[in-house]
Amino acid sequence: MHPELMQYALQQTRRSFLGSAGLSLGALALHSLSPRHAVASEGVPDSLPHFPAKVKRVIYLCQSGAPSQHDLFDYKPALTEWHGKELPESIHQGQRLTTMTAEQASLPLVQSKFAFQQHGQAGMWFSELVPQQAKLANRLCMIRSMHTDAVNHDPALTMLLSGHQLPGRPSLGSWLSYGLGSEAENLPAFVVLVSQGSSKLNRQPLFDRLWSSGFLSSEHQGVRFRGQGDPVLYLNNPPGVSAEDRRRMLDTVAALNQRQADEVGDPEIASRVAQYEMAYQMQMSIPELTDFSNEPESVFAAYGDDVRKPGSYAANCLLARRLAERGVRFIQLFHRGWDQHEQLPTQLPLQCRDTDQPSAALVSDLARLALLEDTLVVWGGEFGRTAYCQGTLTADNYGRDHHSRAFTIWLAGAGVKPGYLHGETDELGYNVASNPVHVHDLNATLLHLMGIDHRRFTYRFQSRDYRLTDIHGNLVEPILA
Amino acid sequence: MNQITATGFHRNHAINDEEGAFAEEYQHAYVVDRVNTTGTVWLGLSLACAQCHDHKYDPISQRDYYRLAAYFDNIAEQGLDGRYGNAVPVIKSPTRAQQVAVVKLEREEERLLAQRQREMEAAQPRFREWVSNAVADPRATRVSDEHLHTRADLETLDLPQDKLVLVRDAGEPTLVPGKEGQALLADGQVYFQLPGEASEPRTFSLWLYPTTADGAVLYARRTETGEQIVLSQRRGLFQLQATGPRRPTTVWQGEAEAWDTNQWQHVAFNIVLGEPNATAIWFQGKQVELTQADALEEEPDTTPSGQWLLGGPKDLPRFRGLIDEIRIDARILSGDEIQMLSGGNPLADLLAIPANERSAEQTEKLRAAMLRETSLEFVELERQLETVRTQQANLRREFPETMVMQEREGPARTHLRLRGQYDQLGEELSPGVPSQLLDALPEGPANRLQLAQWLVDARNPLTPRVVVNRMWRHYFGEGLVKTVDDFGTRGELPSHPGLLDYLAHELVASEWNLRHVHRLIVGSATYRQTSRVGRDAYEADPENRLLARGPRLRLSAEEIRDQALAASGLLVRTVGGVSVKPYQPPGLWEELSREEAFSAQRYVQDQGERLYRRSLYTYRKRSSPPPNLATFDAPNREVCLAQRSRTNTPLQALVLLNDVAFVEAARALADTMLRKHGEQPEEAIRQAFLHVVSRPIAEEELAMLMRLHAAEADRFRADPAAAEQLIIVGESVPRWTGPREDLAAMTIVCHAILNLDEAIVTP
Repeated sequence: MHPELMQYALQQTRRSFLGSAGLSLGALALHSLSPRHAVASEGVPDSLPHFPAKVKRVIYLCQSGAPSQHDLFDYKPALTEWHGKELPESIHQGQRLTTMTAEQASLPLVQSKFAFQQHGQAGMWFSELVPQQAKLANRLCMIRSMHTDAVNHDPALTMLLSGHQLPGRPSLGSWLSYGLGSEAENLPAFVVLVSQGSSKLNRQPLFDRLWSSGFLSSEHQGVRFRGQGDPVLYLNNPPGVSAEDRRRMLDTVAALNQRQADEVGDPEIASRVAQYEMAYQMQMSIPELTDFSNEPESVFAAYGDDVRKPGSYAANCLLARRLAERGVRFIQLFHRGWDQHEQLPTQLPLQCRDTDQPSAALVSDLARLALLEDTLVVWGGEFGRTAYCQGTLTADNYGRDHHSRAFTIWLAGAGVKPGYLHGETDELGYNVASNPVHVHDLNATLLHLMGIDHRRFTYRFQSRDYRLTDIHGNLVEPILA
Repeated sequence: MNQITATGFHRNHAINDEEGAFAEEYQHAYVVDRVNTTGTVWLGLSLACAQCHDHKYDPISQRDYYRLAAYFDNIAEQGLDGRYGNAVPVIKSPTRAQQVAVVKLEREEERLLAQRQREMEAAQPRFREWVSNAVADPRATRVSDEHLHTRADLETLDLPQDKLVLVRDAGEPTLVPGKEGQALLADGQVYFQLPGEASEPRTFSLWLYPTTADGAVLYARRTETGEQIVLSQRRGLFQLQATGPRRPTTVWQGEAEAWDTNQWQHVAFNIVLGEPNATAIWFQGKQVELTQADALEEEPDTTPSGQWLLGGPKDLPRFRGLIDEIRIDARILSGDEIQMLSGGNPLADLLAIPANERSAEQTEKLRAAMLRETSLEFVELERQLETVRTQQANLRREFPETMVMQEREGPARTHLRLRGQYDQLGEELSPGVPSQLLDALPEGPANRLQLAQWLVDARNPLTPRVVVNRMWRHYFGEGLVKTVDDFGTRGELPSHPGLLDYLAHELVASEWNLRHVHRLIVGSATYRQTSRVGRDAYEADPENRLLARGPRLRLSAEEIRDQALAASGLLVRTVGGVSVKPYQPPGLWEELSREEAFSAQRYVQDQGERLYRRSLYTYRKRSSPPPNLATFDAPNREVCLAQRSRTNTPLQALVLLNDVAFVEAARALADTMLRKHGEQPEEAIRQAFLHVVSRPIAEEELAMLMRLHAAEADRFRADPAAAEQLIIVGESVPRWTGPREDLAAMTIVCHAILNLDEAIVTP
């Protein structure tokens, strides 16, 4: 479909939608959270998806701060030999370093302190820090040749999730909410869950813009679910107000609004009535969603003890599964604390203890519930870490700086090859040696799996047709199942 | 001053300070932000396209882009800054009242200085004789004891118990050889308590011999009303921390050179009750320069109350080492006096210089010393002068600080950036405007003033149209040109071109009088049409582009909250001042923050009046914006947006239904109505409805709300505990003294009214 026509179709307001009349309030409310859905129901030809989607929903396990691929997945035996020796200029080639190590007199290479072993049919390497993920080797599609443009957290995370280093563009989840709408009853299409890593050093901040809708309509903003207080902001009734009070008040408000709607004629009023009804249904249903008590004991055991701690990464993984079960389109976890500039040998294990078991449990759990057939799990950070040491290299201590030239992520689930290894780095794990995958390529591929051609999925803002992948991005075909 | 302060608009882009980032990259990003914002706001042009290449649709070349950028690329800013608040360049921007007050003090200072000068000149004949006497008889200069509060040379432990009390946890205090004779051994078990309430200023002078590098309290004071001031020292770093019950903690810090352990060192400081910013600290006779540091947002423990020296009870860390020669004056000592106490003799130093080698300044100092010795009037005059100067300094310290545009030396220049990359420099460019839009660059230097004059040149075809178009959008929901940020070839043509031209002309002809145009619009027959036109009309023209009916638009996020505050009577109408932190669900900032002492990492909610200011004054943290405003489409302010979304979502319903701000507003409205019409709930409901919706309630509507009221009244009578819970929501206190269940029931009714669609749309 011509982009302009599509844009027009997407911009059809609920006013015209309501014009087709005869729809229930429930359908109306749903519409507000899923514009695409409604447009499709109006029978616009050639609407999204551009082609059949393999993936219905994504759970994005964003490891914020950038985990060290050198100590988890990208095993380089050559580093044993190079350990303590200077990074050769033939590898570095004058590439831009962060200002944290650009001035460092010596850049000694450092071999991981952790033991590695190969797993699965593809012979994937995993370090001893991620034993549970290692067991999933035959389910994972690992990309060791990721690279990005930015070398610092703020621009790199913004880049990873919005395709641009500077703020202002919609994030991946917002694009999907805008393009595909929601399939969830009473839930937003784009949910965000944040957890705090156990490493207390260099815990990088997060920003609202990482789930912002940018120039898209603000209803596509990610909705943060929280481990403490109201699971969704303002979900609970004020003190002293019972469910019956609320029902009575809403009925009165609805009746008064209906009267206005009849008198004025503005279809927005009917829509407001529907939103209130939907809000009430959220109030009724979300407590059930966030209450894990009906989960079997085996599930608690699988995700680990932390799962009983609301707001922990483990609890967020389980919540993500429950959101996926209810049809939420895009579930974005952020786990903070991966920024091991210093004391990596003591700090990285803490982060892995937070995440290894729950990440693996989530994939297995989705498989158990047959959800992995149309759900994609993404695990990764905004860039990688250097092969060389930041700070002073000692017998039992080292740190690693930011590294944009190469990093590792994995995918699991619908649409991607299981037990598949893609891309390679050079012998020191510094530059990509084969099959490079840029962040734009990854995003193009994620959109593709959702049935979207990233080149045709645009939004016009200030006269320009913007894409998630800007003017870049190539589908990574080899990883497709 | 106002105009310079207003240039801060161009500094309020996001400013980065991430460790490891490149200053030049971000400095360039700020310039780009300014150009793009200027394009959107004034020209309605998508200049941003030309950052990387010539514009594909509009006549703007990449060269045009960077010539505009040159106007903004000469600011004395740092690419990475702002970790602890404002980023340079900044100025102090006093309020009008402060400006008046400071001028008055300056005049007074001038008058006193002139008088002092006259007395100095009059003393000329006696000077030579006085100097020769002084040289012959070098009297021991000493500090006047006129306002001496107390002195403890610590030769014995016999202290004046009404002024200075030695507190010891256990055992007997020990005296050991010290600076002069004996000194007190401070082993972490002792500190001094200062009895009584002092309203006059105090200067403390003491000799310390620290034996550890640990931090310790020098002075602390806590009052029952929650005022606290703590002066502490850790190695050479002095820190003064002041907190009040209704204001955040303020912190000043200063570094003293050559602080060391196991050495005798002289420390002096003054304290003025209620004026923490008047405090000065001297180390070894030299004043320590204090600068305001980032406020700690911890709640201080303000129990118990009292005044202590060199430690204190509970959490106040004690000094460890030796303490000697404590002196407390009930006045502010001068720098010279402190120098004397620290062992210096400034006067003798000057007298030792031969007369023909003394500088004018040194001669001046000696002459003043003579007058201080010989003339009581002169001493009084200097005291007045000191007072006026202190007042001035205090006032200046309170001037608000604000970020501004401030040019570097030299002509503005920039480079074209190839493909928009900050580090790919192309040709060097001087400032200039896209003359294809208007070829009329004003005379004079190529600076921002020149650009501004070009933008508002009456012949500029874009600026007035772009401005009135946005105003139109504000009232009607869509602009006459629907693409309010794009008047280029990809933008939409105006629906009513004549009207757009007319309004633009009116704006220019009225000398850019915005109020004139606002009046013109709201007074127009078009705006005053009814919006009650029936379903068919809405279907025929959903966006009202034909303007056949009056606008009916949801209010903005800020307006919705402000209206609830106004209708309920909670709104505080004060204009200006520091941003406020109203109710916000706890933990939102902290979950995303760094746990370091950077600014704005923890959200400490305000109290009292600051909860009820207009939303305009609400503190906006870009990386975690106020959620109740964001839900109603308030943008996160990362980049300039000319049009907000106007959505209708269930999350908005949740805000109006459950945010404490709106529940409290409902309670306050109910409270007011009951106090006025207590015995007649019907009248109370009528008035509440009128208050919020601005039209009389229809009988049918009243009946519905009366039914709700009756049901809720029954329910709360049956469960008074629930009523009690509901009516204490928020920090304001209900004043209605009647039955609580009546207030609870009326609160529900008012809350229903505030939740009506009609309550949150333009009438």
